[in-house]
Amino acid sequence: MDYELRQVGPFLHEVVRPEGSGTRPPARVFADEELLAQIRRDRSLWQLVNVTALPGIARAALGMPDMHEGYGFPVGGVAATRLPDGVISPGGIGFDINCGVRLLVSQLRQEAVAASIEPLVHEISRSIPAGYGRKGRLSLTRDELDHVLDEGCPYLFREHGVGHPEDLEYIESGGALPGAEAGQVSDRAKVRGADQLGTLGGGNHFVEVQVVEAIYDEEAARRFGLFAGQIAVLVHTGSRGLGHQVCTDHLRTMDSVVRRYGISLPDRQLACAPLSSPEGRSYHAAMAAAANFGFCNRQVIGHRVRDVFRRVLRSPEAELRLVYDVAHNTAKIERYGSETLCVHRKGATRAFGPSNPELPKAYRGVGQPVLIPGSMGTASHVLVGTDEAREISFASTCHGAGRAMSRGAAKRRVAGHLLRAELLARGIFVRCPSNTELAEEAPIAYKDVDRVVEVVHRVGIARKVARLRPIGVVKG
Amino acid sequence: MPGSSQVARSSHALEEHTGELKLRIEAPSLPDLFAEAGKALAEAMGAPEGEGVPVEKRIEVEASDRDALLVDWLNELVFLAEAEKMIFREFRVELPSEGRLLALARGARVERLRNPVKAATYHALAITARPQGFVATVVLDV
Repeated sequence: MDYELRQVGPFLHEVVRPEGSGTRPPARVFADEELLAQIRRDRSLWQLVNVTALPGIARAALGMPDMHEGYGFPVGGVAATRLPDGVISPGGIGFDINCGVRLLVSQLRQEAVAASIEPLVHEISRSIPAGYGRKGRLSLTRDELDHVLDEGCPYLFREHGVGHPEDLEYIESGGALPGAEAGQVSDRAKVRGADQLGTLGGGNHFVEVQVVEAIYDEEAARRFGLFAGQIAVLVHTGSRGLGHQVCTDHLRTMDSVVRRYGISLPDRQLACAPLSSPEGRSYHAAMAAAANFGFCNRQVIGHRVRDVFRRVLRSPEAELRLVYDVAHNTAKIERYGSETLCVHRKGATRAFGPSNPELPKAYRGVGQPVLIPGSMGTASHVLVGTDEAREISFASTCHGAGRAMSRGAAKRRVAGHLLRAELLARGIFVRCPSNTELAEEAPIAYKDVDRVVEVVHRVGIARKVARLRPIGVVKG
Repeated sequence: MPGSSQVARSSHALEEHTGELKLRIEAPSLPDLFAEAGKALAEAMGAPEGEGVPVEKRIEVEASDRDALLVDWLNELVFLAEAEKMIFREFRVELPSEGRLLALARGARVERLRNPVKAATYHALAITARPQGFVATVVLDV
């Protein structure tokens, strides 16, 4: 569907209201002309317009510059609903609940690890099971899994010694979303997640050893503990099969009750229920529990990478400190003026500004680190949240590059073995289950992350702090 | 099994889009359509044929309507693949009502799957009756 757009602000475009959309709030997207042209190639604008049909939508449905077509909601979409009666929609969070990113930094410079990058990547690959359905090493009883779901990272540290005590302050929401209830997560979801804590999963999930190659904001970088030439680690994964099953289960339930609540939807995948309803409350509690599993998954992986750094590099400067851990797929209850909203972020990052009281003490007056992973083998970015983002975008910003090409198209365009050699020639050592899987995640299959980041920087919904480039990649 | 599928006349295609995989299935009858959808899913998951320990399982699925039944059927197979490492390639399907499916599934328990499938979705879901049978499209999150 080809929509007419009109520019309503710098890099901000509004869909000219289609006939029959009545009093729905507008659909708006942040993008420059080139990203807008890419967005127009799929059905993401149609999906964003559909989101405005959800009961209780506040202000507007928003598309970030990395928006692309998803299921029901577009990926790179933000939608806030007014409580108590606004809806919560599992499709507005996605199947991979709390897919997110964790950044850890060493005190080492690139020169210090140049000779060790191959064994470092090899050992990380051995320590962290990748791919589909691989058994993780942190095996939990059902009771322990329930504690992970209810309590998140604080439980994992307290009872299993996973991580450092100071880590918790540097995880979004302390690594434990309020309202999580293991009892709302089905047995099926628990079976799927039982052996997956500490595993990467497939697709674009990865662990990368990176170098800080550019600093854009000296003060924010100093406060985050970043310096040029520094060795860092970026972990990109989510809640694995457990989260997928939570979404499947609750979509099914909501699909069956939509009519009962008098809700009419243009796409069945937008199934939803008022957050105040039993179905809405149940999904919110299960989603929060799955998000806790996602935080814990990255906590276990970060813990193992720390251990590998110690073993391989044998230097006190190799100790990894957690800069931050952010979620890209969640719904959070947040206060905006006199309103309490349920902010759905699907492929979007929370971006709290310097005055937000929820920030870690060390980051107050600076803002929340926003971590934007590149596609495999391309640059990643550290941004910082702004106070302006509260007004502009429900304190939200972009999440990454976004796919521009299907996996099959990437395979037809790129030979995996040639890509591996090319990456190596650029100083990037890759561990990946196969050349085919490598080709599927080739950089040309993704949008230009630098351009995406530039747009959010110029709009003011996050500011650029640093750019990191990979030197070692472990792909899921 | 009475009303079981006539698989030989069915067909499927996997259509790949930017971040998704669309199954397009054609079959002479609804039980055939559901059986073919199961085969298409196994192909999407990329399990090598002939590998693993043979398994057979009876599966029952209930849903609110016929379209949702197709999604729930595929999600049942996604769950069995991930939780029990079972990939099914042959099916005898019965549909006693619009919202109920009984199947005898044959396949193998495997060590590893090539391609993960997170879930079957309601996105662009359609089952259409044609003079020669039925056509369905289902989108998978992969």
